[in-house]
Amino acid sequence: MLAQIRSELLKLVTVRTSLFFALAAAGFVALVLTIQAATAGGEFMGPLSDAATQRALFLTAGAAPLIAIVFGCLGVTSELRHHTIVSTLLVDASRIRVITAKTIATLLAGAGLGAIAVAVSIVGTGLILLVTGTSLSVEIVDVVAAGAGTIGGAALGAVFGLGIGGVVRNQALAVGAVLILMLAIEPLVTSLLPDVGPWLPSALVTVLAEAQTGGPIGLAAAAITLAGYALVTTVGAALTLQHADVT
Amino acid sequence: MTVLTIDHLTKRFGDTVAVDDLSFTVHPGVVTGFLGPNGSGKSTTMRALLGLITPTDGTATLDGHRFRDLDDPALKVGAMLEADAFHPGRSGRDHLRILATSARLSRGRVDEVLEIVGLTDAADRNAGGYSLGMRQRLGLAAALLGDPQVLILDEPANGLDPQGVRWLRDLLRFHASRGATVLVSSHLLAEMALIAEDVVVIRDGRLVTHDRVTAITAAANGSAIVVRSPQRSELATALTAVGADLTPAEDDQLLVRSIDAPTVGRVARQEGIELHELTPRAASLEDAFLELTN
Ligand SMILES: Nc1ncnc2c1ncn2[C@@H]1O[C@H](COP(=O)(O)OP(=O)(O)OP(=O)(O)O)[C@@H](O)[C@H]1O
Ligand SMILES: [Mg+2]
Repeated sequence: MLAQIRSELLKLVTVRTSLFFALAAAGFVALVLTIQAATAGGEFMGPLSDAATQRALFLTAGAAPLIAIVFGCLGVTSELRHHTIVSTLLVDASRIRVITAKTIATLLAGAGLGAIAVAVSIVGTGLILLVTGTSLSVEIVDVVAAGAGTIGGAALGAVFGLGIGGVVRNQALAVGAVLILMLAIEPLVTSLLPDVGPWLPSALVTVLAEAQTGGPIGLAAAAITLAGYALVTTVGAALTLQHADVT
Repeated sequence: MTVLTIDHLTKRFGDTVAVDDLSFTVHPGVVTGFLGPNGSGKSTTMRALLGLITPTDGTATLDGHRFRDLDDPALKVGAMLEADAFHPGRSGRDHLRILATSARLSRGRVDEVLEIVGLTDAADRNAGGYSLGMRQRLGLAAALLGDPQVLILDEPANGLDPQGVRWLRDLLRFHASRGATVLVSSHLLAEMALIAEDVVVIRDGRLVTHDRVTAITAAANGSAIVVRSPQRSELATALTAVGADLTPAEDDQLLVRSIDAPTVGRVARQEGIELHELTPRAASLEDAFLELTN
C-alpha cells in the first residue's frame, strides 16, 4: 500500500498542475493580505493593532480548502482523461487499493496546499506587523486553531473533490459541477433553507478555517460532517471505478 | 510458462457486440499473432484479458486466474494498449518511475528499459512532445518494466521506424524463445508473417481460424505450384488424372493445387513430359487474411 501511495504522490509532483495550484494558493493569500493591510484603519477594517484585524489577516489562508476541492477533482479526472488509469491498473490490478492510495495521497496533498496557504498568511502577517511596528494582539491559540482548521479543511476538501471527480469522471463536467455547487447551489440553498445552509461543504470549510466557535455548528461537528461528505463521494468514486470498463 | 485462455468470451457495449462467444488459447514459447479487420474485437479481447473491462459472458484468464486477482501483475504481465496513454505534461522517465514505484521496482530498472527501447535521450522531455514512434517505445518500456513472462501488445509496431520494427521482432522472438507467452495484434501482415508462428484470426468478434502461419498460408487459395512445360495440355491431362486442381496461366504455365510438388514431378517423369519450371508458391499471410475475412 505504501508503494501505491508513493506512486500516487509522484503522479502529483511530476506535473505542473500541482505547482500551479501551490502558487495559486500562495498568490491568492498574499494578494488578499496585501489588500487588507492596505485598507486597514479605513472604512471597512479596524486599525492593524486591533486583535480582530490581525485575526482577519491570518484567516486569509481560509481560501485554501476551496482551492483544494478543485485540485482534488482535477487530479483524478486528469488520470481518466489522459487514460493513464490504464497503466495504473496494469501495475496494480486492485482497484480498491488504487482508489485508497489515491485518497490518501490526495489527503496529504490537500493538507500540503493548506499548509502553504497558512505559511504565507503567517509569514505575510508577521511581515506586515513588523514593517508597521504593530505589536501582536491576537491570541496565538486562535491563530493555531484557524491554521489547523485550514489545513484539515484543505485535506478533506481535496478528498471531497476527488470523490466528485471519480463519480462524474469527465474532467470539464466534474470541475464545472464543483464550481456550480460552491458558487450557485450552496448560496441558493442557504438563502432558501437557512437551517440547511450551514451544513453544506463550503460553509463547513469556513467554520474550520476560521475556527468559528459559538456558531450553529461546532468545530468537531463541522470536521465530522465534512469528513462524511468526503467519505461518501470517495466511496461513490470507488464503486464507480470498481465496476467501470476502462478503455 | 503461462497459458492465456479466452473461453466463450462475449462483450457487448450497449447494442454493439464487440466480442461474440470467442474461445482460443495462447501458448508459451511462440509469438501468437492476433489478426482481424478494424472493429473486429481484438482490443476488446485484450482488455478483457487484462481485467480492464468486465466480460458480458465467458472468461479471459491467465493460467486460470483472472488478471484482477493477480498480486503483482507488473511482474507477470507486460501490456501495451494504446500509444497515447500518457500525461502530456509529464516526462517519459517520470511516467515509468510512477509505474515502477507502484510495482516496487528500482529506479535502475527504469533506466534499463529506457535504454532497451532507445528512449534514454528523450526520457526527460514531456511525453506530449513525443512522436508516434517515441510514444510507442514508451508504451513498450512500460510493458517491459517488470520483465514479465507474458506480453500482450496491441499494435506495437504502429509508427515504429524500420529499425524499430526489426528490433521489436527480435525482442518478441527472444522473449518467446525464453518461454514467454506473447500475444500481439497487428495490421502489418508481412511483418506478422515474420514474427508470429501461430495466428488467431477473428472477424465480427468471432473466431475465424487459429493455426500455424504456415498452415494458414498453405491453405489459402493463392497457394499453388507453378509449373511450366512446352507440353502443357498433355501435362494437364496427366495431372487431372491424379486429382490435381488446375488453372492455366500466362504462356505455358499451369497453377496446380490439391497435390504436392513431388507428385507433379513424378507424374511428369512417368509420362515423359519436359518441365521448365516447378515452383511451390505459398500465398502471403495478407492473401490468406483477406480471403479469410472477406
Ligand atoms: N468502450 C466502448 N464503447 C462502445 N463500443 C466499443 C467500446 N470499445 C469498443 N467498442 C466497439 O467494439 C467493437 C470492437 O472494437 P475493438 O476496439 O475491440 O476492435 P479492434 O479489433 O481492436 O479494431 P482495430 O483494428 O480498429 O483496433 C467496435 O465495434 C467498437 O466500436
Ligand atoms: Mg484495436
